[in-house]
Amino acid sequence: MISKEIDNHLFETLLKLAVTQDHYHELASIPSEDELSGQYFVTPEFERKIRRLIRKEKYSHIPKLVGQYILKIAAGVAIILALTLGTILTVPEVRATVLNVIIEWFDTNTSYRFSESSETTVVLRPSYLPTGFHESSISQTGSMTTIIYKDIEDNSIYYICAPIHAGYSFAIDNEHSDHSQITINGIKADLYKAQTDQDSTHIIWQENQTSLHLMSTITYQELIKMAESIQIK
Amino acid sequence: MLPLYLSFIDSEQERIKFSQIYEQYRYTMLHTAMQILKDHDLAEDAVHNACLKIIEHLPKFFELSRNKTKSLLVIISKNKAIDILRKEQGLALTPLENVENSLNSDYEDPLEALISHDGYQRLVGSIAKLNDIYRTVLQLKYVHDYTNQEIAELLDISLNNVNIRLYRAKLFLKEILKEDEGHDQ
Repeated sequence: MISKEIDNHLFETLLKLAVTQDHYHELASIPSEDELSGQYFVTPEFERKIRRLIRKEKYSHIPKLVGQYILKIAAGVAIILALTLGTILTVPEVRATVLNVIIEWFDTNTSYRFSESSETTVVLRPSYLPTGFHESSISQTGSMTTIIYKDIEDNSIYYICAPIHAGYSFAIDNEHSDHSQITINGIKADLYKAQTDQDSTHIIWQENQTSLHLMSTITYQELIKMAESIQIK
Repeated sequence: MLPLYLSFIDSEQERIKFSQIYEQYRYTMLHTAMQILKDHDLAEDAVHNACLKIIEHLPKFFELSRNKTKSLLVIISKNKAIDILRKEQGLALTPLENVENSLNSDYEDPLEALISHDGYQRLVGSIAKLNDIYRTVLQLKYVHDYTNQEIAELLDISLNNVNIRLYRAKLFLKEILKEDEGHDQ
């Protein structure tokens, strides 16, 4: 006769297997994020609540600005760009691709949303790093890859790259930066130049059906140099 | 309340991580909440509450694989949706004294039923039939290997309640296996 202790252990083992199997069946039954983005929407109010969660340092200013904020949101400009990459890229496999990106300018942030999909999952690394920086960590969230470069003084450069898929979006702070358009290896890119040493500079562009985003408090010239070293082979 | 949770996003890296999680899985979370609440506004409330919980436990997400990230987000979203549903329906949690009474019931270990007669498949099927409040505790325990204390913190319930839910879930599963075994004979 099997002892009760062994019985319990065996039951626990089988239960762990069964719970795991049931749970992965459950997860597999959930449609993909791409499919769900076609079925559901998030309201602007909800989106703003989440942005507030992300930008904690501005939260304390929200109550007094809220009325003003809503009015300005209503007046936000939505720019729909249908970028025919064939006209701005030289790589043959990219030339045929048409990428749709919707850029919405709000009072405190700029939102990027994509409506075309890409299967590309290649992580393009920069060949140039500012002096003293090295790759410190790499993490994956969904299809999005984040590489963090650090120097000896713990300054960071964040490099986020993700294959573009319908519904993929992100927003960046535009309240503490000055926007201008630049070109990175012949491709149009958005530069958000930090207004102070404490703010981050961002460079955002799309290349080879991949969204690329560099962010740091280092000088924008260095960041541009790094961006230009990220090239499709 | 909100600023308290916001203080957990204390580094640029964590802000990016949360932002990535949200951008990659917001519709999955919304879908999960909608399955329970069937109301878009309430589902958004559930996802918002889930986001607060994610921020509170953000360090956990740095260690998770893609599958486990999705799994944990679904579990948290489901739990927050159930909380809202309970409030909407005016349902209180199961009184503990009732639960504790049931814990005194004696039962035989149906291990033989589990090993024989495709018992394992019955067990998988029985888990799918469990009430979500029990199923999520089992998932956090056996899929994510969290301690009962960690589960309590993730689900905003007491440690005692976690212990009781685990016990009841196992009791329920064993009862089902025993019943099925009886029908087979």
